[in-house]
Amino acid sequence: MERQDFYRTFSGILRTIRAPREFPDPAPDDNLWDLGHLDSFAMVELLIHLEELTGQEITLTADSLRNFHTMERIYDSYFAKEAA
Amino acid sequence: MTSTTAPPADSRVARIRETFRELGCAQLRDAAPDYVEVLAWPLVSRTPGLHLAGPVYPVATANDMLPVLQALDAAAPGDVLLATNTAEYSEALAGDVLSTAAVAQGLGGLVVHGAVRDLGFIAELGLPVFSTEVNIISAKTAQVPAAELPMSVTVPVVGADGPRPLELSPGDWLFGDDDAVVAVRADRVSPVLNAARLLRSQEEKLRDAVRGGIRLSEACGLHDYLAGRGPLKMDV
Repeated sequence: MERQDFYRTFSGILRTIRAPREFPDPAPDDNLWDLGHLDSFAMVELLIHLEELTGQEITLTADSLRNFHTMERIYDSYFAKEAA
Repeated sequence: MTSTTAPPADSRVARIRETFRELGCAQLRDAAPDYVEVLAWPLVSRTPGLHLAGPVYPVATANDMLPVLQALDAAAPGDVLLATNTAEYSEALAGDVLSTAAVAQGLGGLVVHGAVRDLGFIAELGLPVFSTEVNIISAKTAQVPAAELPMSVTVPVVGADGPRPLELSPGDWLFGDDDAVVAVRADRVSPVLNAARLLRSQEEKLRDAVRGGIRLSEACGLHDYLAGRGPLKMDV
């Protein structure tokens, strides 16, 4: 999946998860936790959607735990290699 | 501790068990309340401090060891044997011999709705064991026909309006610690564990900030939240 497609898809997932609350779409480098896009309830739904997108179980490493804060880092961690 | 060399659980099961060792049932439930079901039986950890995690292998019996022995034989390394005693008065379904065999087969633990015994022996095995009762009188053997395995069992789980039934089938997961025993559907284990790890990493930031002298109200944005200026970051 290309980067811009991922950002659009990811923002759509966030809108679905956060409904009926409305948030502006995040920028690629926005911290999703600090801006309130992610919390404990949203996280598991997001991970379920991401596993469906990647078609495999996501394994979090210590690095990805630290980086799971922005769309940019999430794409780099789980989609960039496949797109390259 | 036993000196038995147990066969290893498969790598995915081993990885999930290792991940859960750093967490607890509370973190799983906080991270994914819609996917983490709390068993409503009054289960007690007979091995305090040990974490239980593994795919469930369920069996039901009425004070007869035969189905339990069959299930033990059929369970794979890493599985958690869930034995539910349907008899009103429960005799012990697990003790020193069955627990030793579970360790030798590399099982992930025992959960018994009913009685176990030989607690002193079990405590030395390093096998997580949970039960609702203790009874020194052992269940009988082979007074009922052989069970048809694999089977599913229905367990009560905590619901908003009281306990409700949940069917557990082989492959669904059980997790347990000193707080509770919880069930997670097979296809939700990975996202639930990952969400719990992420939640924990966020909580650690809060704890670090508080340890560093920042007031909790400041670290979690309480005043901004009350003034309508931002999210409450305690709700990680």
